[in-house]
Amino acid sequence: MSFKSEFSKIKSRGSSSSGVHHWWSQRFTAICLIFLVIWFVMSLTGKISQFGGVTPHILVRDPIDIISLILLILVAIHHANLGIQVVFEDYVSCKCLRVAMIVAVKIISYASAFAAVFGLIELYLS
Amino acid sequence: MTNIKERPISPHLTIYRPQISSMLSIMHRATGVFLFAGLVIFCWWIIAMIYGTDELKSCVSNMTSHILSQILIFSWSFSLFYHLLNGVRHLFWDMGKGMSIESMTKSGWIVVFGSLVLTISSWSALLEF
Repeated sequence: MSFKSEFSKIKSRGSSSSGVHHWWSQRFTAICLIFLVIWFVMSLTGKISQFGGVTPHILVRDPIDIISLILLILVAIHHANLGIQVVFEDYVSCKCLRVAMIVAVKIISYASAFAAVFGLIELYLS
Repeated sequence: MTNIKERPISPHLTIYRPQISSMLSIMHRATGVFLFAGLVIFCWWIIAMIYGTDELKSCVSNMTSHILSQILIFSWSFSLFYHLLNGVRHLFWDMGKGMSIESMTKSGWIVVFGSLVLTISSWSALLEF
């Protein structure tokens, strides 16, 4: 006869439900990034050959450039956060530290990405 | 009785021969982390060059034209191509294809050489303007 409470029987068993979503988001963003990165590399090498150096100004000349660059930054940051979460989960054993690091990286990366995107839009409009 | 922190474990990194499977796998993780760091720094560079004072902008320009930065950017580009090609390899595995040891070895070498070829060709295309 088990003297365990019902709750203690299900603790540490099974998924917390967001695992599959994480897996799919990682693959979907990866597929999007294949196209975005190929575009970015070709566009950037073309631009650098044309202008000699790199400044944010050469990156935002046409709407298609700026839209693709914004998509690249946002999708890449999302993909990277999903990936780094797995890395932290693998190597950081202390739960509070692990959560803190995942959250800190998420905040810093998304804030930087959004600020950069805003800057690019503002640059294009000016 | 040994403390829980002092229990012995079997040797792993010290005795296992490096193989294409394990080396490419850890490279995929390492390049991923490095790409993330570079991406965030790229965002900071954009912010600095758009919103920075003239002093900050010249400071950042000097830093980015330094040979050390050029080496880092070169490594970042290699990481990008490596992570891209190995990522495609992973996606094929997710579909269940190419998981035999022979396929894995072959595709692994394609990833390594492909990354080198792509890095070198894109940088030569860049430097021959």
